[in-house]
Amino acid sequence: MTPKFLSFPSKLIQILTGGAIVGALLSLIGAVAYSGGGRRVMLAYLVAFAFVLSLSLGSLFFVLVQHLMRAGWGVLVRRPAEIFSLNIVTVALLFIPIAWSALGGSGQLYPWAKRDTNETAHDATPVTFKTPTALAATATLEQPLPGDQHESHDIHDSLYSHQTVDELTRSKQGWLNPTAFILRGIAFFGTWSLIAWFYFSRSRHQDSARGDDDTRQMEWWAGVCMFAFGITLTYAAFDFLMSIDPHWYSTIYGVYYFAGCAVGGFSINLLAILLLQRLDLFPVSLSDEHRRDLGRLLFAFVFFWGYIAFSQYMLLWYANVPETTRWFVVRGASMAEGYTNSWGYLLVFLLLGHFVIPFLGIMSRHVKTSKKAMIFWTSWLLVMHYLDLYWLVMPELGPHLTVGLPEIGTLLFTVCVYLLGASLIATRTSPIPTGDPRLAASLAITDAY
Amino acid sequence: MTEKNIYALIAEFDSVSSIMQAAEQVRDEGYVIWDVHSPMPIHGINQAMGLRPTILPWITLAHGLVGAAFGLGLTWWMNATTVPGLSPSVQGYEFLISGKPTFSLPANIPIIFETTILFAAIVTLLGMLGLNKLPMLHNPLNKNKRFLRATTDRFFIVIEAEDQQFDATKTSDFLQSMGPLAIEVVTED
Repeated sequence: MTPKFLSFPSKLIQILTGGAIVGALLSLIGAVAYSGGGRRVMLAYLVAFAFVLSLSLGSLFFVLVQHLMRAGWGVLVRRPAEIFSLNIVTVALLFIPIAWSALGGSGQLYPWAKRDTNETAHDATPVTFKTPTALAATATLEQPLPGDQHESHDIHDSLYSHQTVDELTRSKQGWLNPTAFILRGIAFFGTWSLIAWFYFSRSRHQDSARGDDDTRQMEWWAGVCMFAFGITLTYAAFDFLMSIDPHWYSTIYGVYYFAGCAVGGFSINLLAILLLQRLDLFPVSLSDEHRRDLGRLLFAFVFFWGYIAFSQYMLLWYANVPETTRWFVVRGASMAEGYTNSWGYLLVFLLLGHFVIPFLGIMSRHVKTSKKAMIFWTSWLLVMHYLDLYWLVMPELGPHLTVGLPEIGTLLFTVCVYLLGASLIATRTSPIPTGDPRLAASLAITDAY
Repeated sequence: MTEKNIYALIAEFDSVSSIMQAAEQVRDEGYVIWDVHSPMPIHGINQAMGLRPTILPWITLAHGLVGAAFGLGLTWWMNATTVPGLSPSVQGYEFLISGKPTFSLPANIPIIFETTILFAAIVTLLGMLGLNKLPMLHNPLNKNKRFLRATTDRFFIVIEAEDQQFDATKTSDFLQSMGPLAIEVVTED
């Protein structure tokens, strides 16, 4: 007999609280113990923040698209996504340290937020692009620099020159300034919380109210909310992640982050459902077809991520313009002599681990319908999604791939806080939308091909 | 006037539940060459009929890989080859484009992607038609008046005479035992 409402043992709450405290301590130790630890902890925290944010946004996308398409099959599996999307309020709390850092004027996280000390000397610091074109592997065609140790060091120094406020960064400060950044952050989190709260509360209301009034309202708003979701997500990705290198821009960046959101969000929902079933907390048994449908959705977005990641790479690679290739060079994509760095290993690992291996792995229907296999693949994709964000942010630190206390501590902290928020929201909530008129039809799906 | 050969026996039903039960019985009886006709898709009919999963996905996968290999070969041959002694009309074009190597994988991946999709999609369509023995321009069932209602409000089980277990009287008795609305013999024409 499974309980009607979700309730978690107090031990779980204790473990999560303990994990968050340990994580926070590890981050603090990391900040003190490493040289340049403050900046490193902030960047690692940004990765972890973007990770949990993407889980909520991916879930919100799932809820919206279900209503937008008037999808009946997903009614049974919609509630966990509603819980995770409402958990965006926890992520909003986690945004405070980032806002604090932007306000602080140290520029540790965002170089554009550095308090401009030589305000009077605007013209004295012209933009310098010392970075030669280096994405193409044709070292022989354009190699002015023999790769001896001293000179390759100079290349690396010039790659990180944007971290001081220069003319180009200053020209963007109409958009990239702490006040505007925080106002936009409030607008983003306000929009997301409002949408998530609307869908969560309507759906919960329907549990007792029955009838299709709530369904109609949710469907009516889905289109508007999807627009708001798309625009806010794109600009949030620009603000939170892309602006750590204020010189660089890529218009597809928001879509790239969205692809990661979808992979992460679908993964954590499927994983949550499979684990709840395993613990006998899910009141009905999911048919093979439900797991297969969720697996297919995940499979599609694994490919979508690869497609978008390649689209971004190919255009920048083809154009080969110094200002824009710098981003990829720093992230280990260049094979030209003197420009290689150890982030390249992570890049290749992502190509295989985030795209090729799961693409082949989840392709078969036997895998999609196997509970154990999908627990493995969703966990795998969550790890890969974290590493993807890690690769987006951490190379700004320098040419050496690093993993240590700051990364582990911040991840532990944010994930524990996030899960704590999710379990608080989930407590006293039914794991399925019991009042949805299409629940019976969704349950009855046995053969969807 | 010679007697026409029997093509099949058809049994008419009027509900999804009765056709599902009947299909399970025909499956368990061991018939192979038979089919269910229905005006709409029925969830779970595949299991009720004991249909094996199609091999079409494997055909698609195989030809997707062939397409990828073709795309890779094509872009490599066109961009990066000069074979001495070969006629110029079949040589590749070794153009230097913005300083890239003549064989640059990133530039070729869109081509390889497209040929993969192209081959996989075309062969999936052709494979589907082939496995279903389509296009089939004529079937004796088309001339049966009763069978016309298979597209509106009736469900039919059709057991073809080709089936090894088929026997005009025995099969007819078997179909009768399932309580159809009607049973009819369809002849070849």
